[in-house]
Amino acid sequence: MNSTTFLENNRVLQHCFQYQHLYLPLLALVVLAIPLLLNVLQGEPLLQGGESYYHLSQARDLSLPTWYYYPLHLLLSLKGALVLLSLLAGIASVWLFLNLAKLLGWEQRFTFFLSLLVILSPAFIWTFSTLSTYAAVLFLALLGLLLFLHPRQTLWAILPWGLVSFLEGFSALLLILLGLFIWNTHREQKRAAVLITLSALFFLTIVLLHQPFFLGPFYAENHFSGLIADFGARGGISFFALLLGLIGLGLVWKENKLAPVYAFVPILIAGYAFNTHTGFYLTLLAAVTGIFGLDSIFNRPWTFPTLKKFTLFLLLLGILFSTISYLDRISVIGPHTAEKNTLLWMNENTPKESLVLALPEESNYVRYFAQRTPFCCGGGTSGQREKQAVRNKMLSSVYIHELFPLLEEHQINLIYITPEWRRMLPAEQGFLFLLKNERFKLLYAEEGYEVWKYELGGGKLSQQKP
Amino acid sequence: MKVSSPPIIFIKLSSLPWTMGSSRGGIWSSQKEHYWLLLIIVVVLSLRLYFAFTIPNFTYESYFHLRQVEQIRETGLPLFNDPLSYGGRELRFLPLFHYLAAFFTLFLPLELVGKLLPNILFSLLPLIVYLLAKKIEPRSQAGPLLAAFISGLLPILFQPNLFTPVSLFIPLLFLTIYGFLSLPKRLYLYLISFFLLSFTSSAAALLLIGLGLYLLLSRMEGKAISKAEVELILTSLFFFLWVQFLFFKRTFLREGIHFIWQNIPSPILTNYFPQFTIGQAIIAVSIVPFFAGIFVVYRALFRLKNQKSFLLISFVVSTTVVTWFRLIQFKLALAFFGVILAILFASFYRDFRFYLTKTKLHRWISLLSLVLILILAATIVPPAMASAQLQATPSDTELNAFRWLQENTPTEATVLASLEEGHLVTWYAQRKNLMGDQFALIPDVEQRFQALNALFTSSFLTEAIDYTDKYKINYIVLTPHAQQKYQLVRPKYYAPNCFERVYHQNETRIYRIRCSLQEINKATPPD
Repeated sequence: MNSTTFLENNRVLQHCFQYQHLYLPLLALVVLAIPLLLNVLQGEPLLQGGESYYHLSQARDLSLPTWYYYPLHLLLSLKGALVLLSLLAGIASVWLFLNLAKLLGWEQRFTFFLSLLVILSPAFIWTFSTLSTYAAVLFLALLGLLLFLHPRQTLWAILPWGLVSFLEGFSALLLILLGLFIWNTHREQKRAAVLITLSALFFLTIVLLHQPFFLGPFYAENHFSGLIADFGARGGISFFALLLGLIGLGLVWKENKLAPVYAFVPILIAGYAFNTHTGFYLTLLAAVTGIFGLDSIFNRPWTFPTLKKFTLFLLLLGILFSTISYLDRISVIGPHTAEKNTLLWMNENTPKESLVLALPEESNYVRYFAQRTPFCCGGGTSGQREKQAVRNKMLSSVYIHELFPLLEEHQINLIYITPEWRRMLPAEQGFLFLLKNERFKLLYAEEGYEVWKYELGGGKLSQQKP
Repeated sequence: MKVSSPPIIFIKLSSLPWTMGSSRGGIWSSQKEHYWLLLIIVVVLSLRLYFAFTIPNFTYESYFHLRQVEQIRETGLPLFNDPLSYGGRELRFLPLFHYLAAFFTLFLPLELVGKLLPNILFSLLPLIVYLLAKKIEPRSQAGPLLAAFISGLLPILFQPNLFTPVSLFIPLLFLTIYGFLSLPKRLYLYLISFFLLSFTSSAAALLLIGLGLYLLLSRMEGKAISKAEVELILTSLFFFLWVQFLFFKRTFLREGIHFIWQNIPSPILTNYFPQFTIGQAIIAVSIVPFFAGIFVVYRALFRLKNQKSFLLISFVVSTTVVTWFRLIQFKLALAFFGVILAILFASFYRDFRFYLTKTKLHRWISLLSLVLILILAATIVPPAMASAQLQATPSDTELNAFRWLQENTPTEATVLASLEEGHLVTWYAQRKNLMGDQFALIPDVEQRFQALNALFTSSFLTEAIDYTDKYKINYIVLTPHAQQKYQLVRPKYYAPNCFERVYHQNETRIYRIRCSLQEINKATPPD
């Protein structure tokens, strides 16, 4: 970015640019601490979101293919306080990024605004206030990148980057691509060695060990709303920041500034189309292009200088508005205390071999709290899409002769109903109405969270008629 | 030469506006032009007020807005949490129009404000259209006046009994466009009108989409774009978005991208985004401006380099695209489209006269202009009058039934009326309704609409009672409007022991519901 008139006269901003190593991690701490504090105040579990409980379940049921959960396995006794790991990873990632920017010689204001846009993005808040793969990936990727660029520590990069290839194939692929870009401009044997090892690890984990290429999604997918926080996305980016990113892309697309970014655009879009969980990377991309947008718009003299200040003010207000709205609703995502109680009841009062029908996000709560196997979905294992289709078929059943054979075929004997089900499904017909059949029995209910038993092999259908 | 002397009709017609295609310091002064403009405004206002006061009531949707205005007058705040609509619901809307009307109710009765304000606002449209047309055709005198005339009597907008924010939105929208076209001289006009527009209707997005397309087309055509214009577009975009997020945060969160369709129940979505026939659409925006507009759009897109008409054409294209994708209510898009075409008619008229001067018909130029204007008047005035006369308004006898409800039913009662009459239940009867035509943020809108239809069309008493129980409906109002809509005289499931007729006047009936269903055995789902 060229140094011109972009807010350089503002003393406060100048001060912020100069001491960003202090302020930005501090801002990250504040932003990430708010959801935790809200959960504490509202008496809700500290760890939110299905993904957190997916990882906890994996750490608890440790096995050889998931050996990388061992550190988390050792810390399981910390329970809710584990979220502090994510918080620390968030702060450390900001710090690593600032060091990386310094190493690359980026301008202070560029680094400052990019970090600000990322820290205030709901994607960042969600990722680093829950136990999330991308929290670990971003931290490891930045650490690896610092080592990769370091003239004497290059080979050490294989440790953090290699670990990423076990966490998620898609992230490892992006790292290989990023490494190739760097290697293309600064060809060194050590870097080539790192990239070859990483590629081999990628091949090993995906092809031979069948590790998930995509992890998640841990919630119902929505390709449009899943990216924009203001439209109800779990993470996502502020609509204002996205717009800024699009403007940035539109304004500087001909220039070389964004050339490396273009290679990632089709891969990230394809990844997002296949699995919305990867939207995290799209938000990072939008933040980067957004900074170029910000630069193109404001780093030039305007015909109406007052309008320039007003527009910048509106933009910041819009981004802050999204962040505050997001912080306001993040603590109600779940699991809630009543939900936790219901699942703990399920743990103590139902057969251990039970198979539970639940919504995607709740599947991981079922796995962790109730320690029962959910029918589907919410992880990265194969066959999830087929199971998802079966689950959808069950939920759209209108007659018992449609529903019962599916439940029998898949040996589902418990159904975990939440207020979300009641919001999604009609009460007068379909799945919820079918629960009135005598083969279903309500076992437990608390604040809209219900455990229903389905009597497997309860006789022929014709015998069920009154 | 005898041939060159003008025909006698030209001399007689020369004092009239249509004879002057452009001002060349002739007999026409700008003062006369202003008199003609004033005459158009007065005629339009008079016609509008004539219909507004001869037709006794407002259109159905107006009653929602009247209620909001009354609420603002009484409490200073709009009714964002309505205890009556849908039996109690949250609602968000942009309230500038309601505040403006509420201000006038400090001096005048609400019903009078309801009749005067929208018509005065709409009567200002010819003035704005004249200014805009003058911007694109500064040397033309008759063209801008004709554009003003067309916009004043545009059939799609000629609904004098309509009390909705559209009456503020349309004039403000074109005032904003005028401000934009007059940059940098009228910067503050643009900023103020856009500021007001953003608080009037979300349809202001049309302006931004049009401006965006203008930038895109200008770039593609290699036309120079003023820096000030780009800056203003950016500021407007961020300001508009900010205002929308401020008011509709919850709507966006709850409905996601579906906020565009305003949570309209799927069976009636086609009414909001209907598949108009080409014929209907052409009549709504008037035949002559429609074809003239197409001609001007063609010329401007492919041959002309006039930046100002280029902007208007960007609006035409963007509106067409947005309507095609069903992203905006068709009626509103057509209104916007109609006014743009009216403005473009000024260009067409100048081109028409210019073309005639190059042909052998140049001696008959005034006569031909007169013919064109007569055709224009013949195709605009009758549809406009028909549009005014055919406005959907409730009759006095229907309204009496709702007034009766207010005086003779318990205050907590819920009343079933047709969808259009939902606001009459909350305004006149001051009782809870099952539903009205403001659908946003209603989680079970589809089920409610299904219940409403079933309650008017079902043949089964148990089904009807099941719904009245579920939604705690105590009264059913059956007006001639509902009878005509659902093709019935009384509900098919009518049973005297369950429905007590408590009101019957001039075909309007009110039934009190006396039955309810009781579960005596657990229901068994279907096999």
